[in-house]
Amino acid sequence: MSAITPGEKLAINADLVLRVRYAPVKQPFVQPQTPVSTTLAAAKALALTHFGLTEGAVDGGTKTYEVSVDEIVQTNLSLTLGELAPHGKQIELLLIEQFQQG
Amino acid sequence: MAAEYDLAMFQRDFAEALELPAASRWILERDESVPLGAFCTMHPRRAPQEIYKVRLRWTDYGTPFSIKYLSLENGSECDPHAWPNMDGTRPSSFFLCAPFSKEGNDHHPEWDRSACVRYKTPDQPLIFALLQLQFLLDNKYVGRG
Repeated sequence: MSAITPGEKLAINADLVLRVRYAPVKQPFVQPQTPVSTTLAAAKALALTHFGLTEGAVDGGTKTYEVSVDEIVQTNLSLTLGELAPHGKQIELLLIEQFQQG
Repeated sequence: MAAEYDLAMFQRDFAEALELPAASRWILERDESVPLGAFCTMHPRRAPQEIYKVRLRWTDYGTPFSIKYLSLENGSECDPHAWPNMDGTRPSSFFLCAPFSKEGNDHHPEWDRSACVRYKTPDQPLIFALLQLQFLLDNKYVGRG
């Protein structure tokens, strides 16, 4: 097994600025020092908590929240922020509510 | 007639919407026939040749808004072909069935009685509307109505 180079070590430890815009709210959720190893699922959970949102069954339907990056909805939430923004110092996500009538 | 406050907020949001990164993909215009109205021409990310013109109107800027897709040829709001097929749209019935649309709430009056489903006024309703519709076009679009 090869040793981790200084550059790789820096990449592993690097942080980026996480910004999540939730369409109904003007002020985005911003977390300045977010490890690049943070998964999209974890970032989404942080944002849901910040905005006070919960997924699941509601009266007569189901509410879910989808995350898009650069206008593309992300279905693989195990991707890390570092993978989605490999050269960036920040990443901006858009959180969109979906309501499915039951 | 829209309240002065609503009109001021709408004008502020209209100006801010033009500054959004996504606005480079839009033709956003005021609907001068009503105080709180706008037209936006937009397209799906994966089908840029498919152009749609949506008309957004509010009676009160804090309530669900009317969404109508208009024919590019004659401006008709009753042309199924002018409507995108995507989550919530009913092209043959000319409405988008969602808690944020006036037409959806007309169809589902029970939504307003549900604390969970009821429309909660966004900070910037126009910007919310545009982002929401662009998201649907970019990610939930399956073709023309």
